[in-house]
Amino acid sequence: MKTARITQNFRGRKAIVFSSEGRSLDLLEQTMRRLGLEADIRPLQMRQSLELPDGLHREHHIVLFDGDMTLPAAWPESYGAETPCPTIGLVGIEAPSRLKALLQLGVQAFLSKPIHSGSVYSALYLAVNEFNRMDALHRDLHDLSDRRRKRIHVIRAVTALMRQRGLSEDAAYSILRKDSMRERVSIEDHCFDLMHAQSDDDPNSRETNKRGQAR
Amino acid sequence: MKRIELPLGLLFSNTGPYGKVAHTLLNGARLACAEINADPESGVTFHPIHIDPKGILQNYAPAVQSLFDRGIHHVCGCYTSSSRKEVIPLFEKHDALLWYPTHYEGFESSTNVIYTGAAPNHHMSPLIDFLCSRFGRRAYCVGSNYIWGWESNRVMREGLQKRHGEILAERYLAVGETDLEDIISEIFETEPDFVFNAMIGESSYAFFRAFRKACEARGIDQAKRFPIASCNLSEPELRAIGPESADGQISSSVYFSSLKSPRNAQFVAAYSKLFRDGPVVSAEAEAAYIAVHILAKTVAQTGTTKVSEVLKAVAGQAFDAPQGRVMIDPHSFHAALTPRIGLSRSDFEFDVLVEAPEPVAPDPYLVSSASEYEVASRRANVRIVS
Repeated sequence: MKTARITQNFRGRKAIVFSSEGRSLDLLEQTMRRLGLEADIRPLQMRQSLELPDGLHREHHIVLFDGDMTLPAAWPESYGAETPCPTIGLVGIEAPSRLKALLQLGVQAFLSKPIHSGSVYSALYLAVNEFNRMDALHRDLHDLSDRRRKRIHVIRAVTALMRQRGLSEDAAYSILRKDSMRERVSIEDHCFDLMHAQSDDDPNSRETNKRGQAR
Repeated sequence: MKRIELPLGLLFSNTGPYGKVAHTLLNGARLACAEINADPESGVTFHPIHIDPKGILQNYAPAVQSLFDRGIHHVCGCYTSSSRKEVIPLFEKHDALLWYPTHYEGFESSTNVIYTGAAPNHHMSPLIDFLCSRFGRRAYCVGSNYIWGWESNRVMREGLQKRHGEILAERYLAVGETDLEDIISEIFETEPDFVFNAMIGESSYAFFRAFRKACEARGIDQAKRFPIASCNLSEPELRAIGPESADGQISSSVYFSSLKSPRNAQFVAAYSKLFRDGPVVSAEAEAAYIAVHILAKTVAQTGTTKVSEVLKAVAGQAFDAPQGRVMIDPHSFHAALTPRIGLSRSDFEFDVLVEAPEPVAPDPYLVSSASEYEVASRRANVRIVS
């Protein structure tokens, strides 16, 4: 599994801050500037509900929202219901309901109010690196599910090869594995493509999986 | 003109494991107080009160509290980062101001601290460039086992890896530890192009002496074959090391007492006259001197000692210091300073080898120079299969 590299410099990123906090925001903006970030402060009234912005990019943005405000339950569907970029929860009232609201939006770090300049870098560090780690895990998970789904094609390809060339199970598998490595695709993708191609060649094939190429 | 009375706390451990350097810090601050008090135009009269925490971490917070209890809100002090971290919460709680006059490893910007010493981009970055261009890219790193050593070595490691260099070993010793035999034999075994030393106080002095001696015993010219580079080596420390090992050592600093300018000559003369018993002038002394002068200038300008007003007015404040012009950066409250590389002589002075053409803006978080990602290890995560 590939581990994400640790990010330590946040120069050039934009931090979008949703908060009703007054004095703390000046300090936050000042500290962000020192750290090379551009702070986009969006002050809100206490009861005003927050609308999460579109077009957030995982490498360019960091979102900070205040747990004391009315928060949406989830990210807009345009993001596929996943947290689109590193996020930090500003914690005022430390009640379980507020912490849960922040957690549901997928915050990777907390920053206590009133904000103390000495904790901003740590919160950014945790949020960005935790986001990257989770993102890498999600991708691995997606990859594994995809391979599990295509496992049936490996079984079919092994059986087909055994039948066509009179090979043992191990020998057939070994050939498929080597071929897939040569083509630099997973054995599942290789077998999927192989079976797909064979079924296209053979009009009498009973292959039913026509959902198309995986990649 | 009515003069403003300004009580000033001086928090320096002039006794203890790093007493020598802290004593020069104290002297630098005292010289500035004396100059300001004697100047009829200054508009400020200092009432300095010194407390010596003896280099013991637990003594710092009570010392600061006792200063606050006496109504003192401006304190010039601290040498080690651990002592600074220990007192910062108190300064923030009482809304007082710490004037911190020591070069340090960066990654901090407290709202209640003014930093007049060098930031990592002032000493580490120029030193790495210098070492790579003169000696090579294979380093042996040794440091005191606390934040200064750890962070200095991290910056060195990243700098070298960026230049395709190599860290042969990274070793740490407790502050005050002087048993260096293992370190020295490891240096001979690993044969680095240079040694990077981030030890402080007695450990550092003992290392310079023992390593020079070990090199001589093997017929090696230490300064040529195994140059030692430090970011915290100053003139009084060369004396503490002693004449046999004081020469040929590399130091990265914003100030050396040998700087040739009328302003520096005047500073060195005034310092030597006031502190005949030593320790001699150093970069730390100059930084403390700058801190107290800038404080006086700011208070005289604003007409009040109130911390919030002083903080507002100190942003962008400039001062004609012995090292040249210095200025407080309005974003980070660190000072813009002039980096230099010096080579020590046996008469306990430095020859300046490299000098920046003008003051360099502080970058305490190394935002403009550090790479976005932590440098990856050289070991590849690739497994060869069939």
